[in-house]
Amino acid sequence: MNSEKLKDACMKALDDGAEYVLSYVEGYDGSHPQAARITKQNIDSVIFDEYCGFSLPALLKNADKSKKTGIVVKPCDSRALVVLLQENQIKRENIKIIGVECKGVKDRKGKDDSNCKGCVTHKPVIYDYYAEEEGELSTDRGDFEDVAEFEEKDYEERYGFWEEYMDDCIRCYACREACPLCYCDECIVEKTMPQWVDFSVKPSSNWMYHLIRAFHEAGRCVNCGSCSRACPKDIPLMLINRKMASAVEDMFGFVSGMDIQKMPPVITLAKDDPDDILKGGMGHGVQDRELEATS
Amino acid sequence: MSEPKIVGFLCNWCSYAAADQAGTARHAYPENIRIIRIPCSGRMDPKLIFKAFQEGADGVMVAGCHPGDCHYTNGNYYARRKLALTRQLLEFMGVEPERMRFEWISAAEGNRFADVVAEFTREIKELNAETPLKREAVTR
Repeated sequence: MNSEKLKDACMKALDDGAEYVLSYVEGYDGSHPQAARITKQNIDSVIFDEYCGFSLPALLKNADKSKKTGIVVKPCDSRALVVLLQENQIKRENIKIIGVECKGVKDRKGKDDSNCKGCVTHKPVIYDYYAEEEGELSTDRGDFEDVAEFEEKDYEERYGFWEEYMDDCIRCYACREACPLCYCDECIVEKTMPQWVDFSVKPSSNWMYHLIRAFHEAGRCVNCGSCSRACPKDIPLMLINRKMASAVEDMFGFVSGMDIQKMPPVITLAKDDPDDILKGGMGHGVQDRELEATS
Repeated sequence: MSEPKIVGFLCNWCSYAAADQAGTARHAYPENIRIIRIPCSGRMDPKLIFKAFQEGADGVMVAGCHPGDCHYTNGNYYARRKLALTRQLLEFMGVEPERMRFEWISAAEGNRFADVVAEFTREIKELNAETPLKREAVTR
C-alpha cells in the first residue's frame, strides 16, 4: 500500500487526540514487520503490506485503556474491534480507528495465507479514518471449502489427523497471545481451583486446551488467522475455528464482528431453534447477506 | 471388551426425576450410566463433556426439560445452542456422533428415560474404537 495515505490517516488520528497509533513498521528485513507506537516523531516508519499479518488489536490487551489510542486495522482486525466493543473491552471514545483495505496476507513461511481465501470482507467494517488499497478489491465473500473438504474424512481419519497435531503441540500459547479476542486475565488453562486442564504438555491435556479454546472462539473468531500463523508447530488451528464459524453461521445466521448491534448466539437464546441441531442437523439455512461496512 | 462407562448429566427438575421414576417403577436400565445431577440443562458446560471423555467416559448423555417447560424458564434454550455447537466441534475432531446423546426428557417420562439409556448403551457397545480424548495412564 502506498504509505502516504496511511501516514495521513495516522497524522489525523494523532491530531484528533490519540496519544500514539499502534501500527506496523519495518522489521529486520522486508518480510517481518513489527508493531510500533507511532507518534509524530516516527510517523515516517509506518508501513502496510502483505506481510502485515499479525493482529494489532491483540496488543490492546496490555495497553493502558484509559489513554486514547490510535490503531491500524485490517478488515478482519476491525471486526475484532467490533467484538471487543461488544464485550466492553475497549471504549469507543478512547480508540481512533484507522481502517485499511486488504487483499490478503502472507503466512509465516512467506506464502499467501490460505486462510485469507475465507475472508468475509476486504473492507474494514468500523473506522474513523480510511486508507484505500491500490487496484481492484474483490467483493466476493470467501467460502468454507476447506471445512467441507475436511468433513469428507470419516471419524477415524479425523481423529487420527488431530491426534498427530495434539502430539505436536508444545503449549507455548502463542495462539492465545496472538489472538485479539483471547484477553482473559486468568485463562482457564491457568486456573487451579478447579483445574480444568493439566499444565503438563501431554496429548490429552493439549486436546483439552484446544477444544476449550475453539469453543471460546465459537461465534467470536474473526478469521484473522493470527493463531495459525503464530503456531511454531504449524497446527492448522484456523481449520477448527473456521469450522465453528461455519456451524454458527449455518445454524444461527450469525457472522461475528459485522454488526455491533447483533450479539453472538452463544450468549443469546432463541425459543425457535430447531431441535435437529442437537442431533447434528444445521437448522436454519445460510442466508445471503449484504455485508456492509458500519462506521 | 470391558463394560463402557457412560456419564449422564441430568437436570434436577425433569430428567433426574424421570430417572427416579424409572427406579420407583422398577423399570431396569443398564448400569453403565453414572448420573450427575445438575440444577438445569442450562448449567451444562461443554468443558464438562470434554472432561468426561478425558476421564474415561465412552459416552456422554445430557438431558433436560422440554423447551418451553424449563423450571428456570429459559435455561434449556441456552443449553440447546451450547450442546449443538459442542456436537459440531467434537464430531469435527473425530469423536463419533454415537458417543453424545442430547435429549429432552420430562419428569413423567421415566419409561422413556430407561429406553433411551438402554439404546444409548447398546450403541456405545457397538462402537469398536477406543475412547477418544482419554487421559494417558500414569505408569510407575
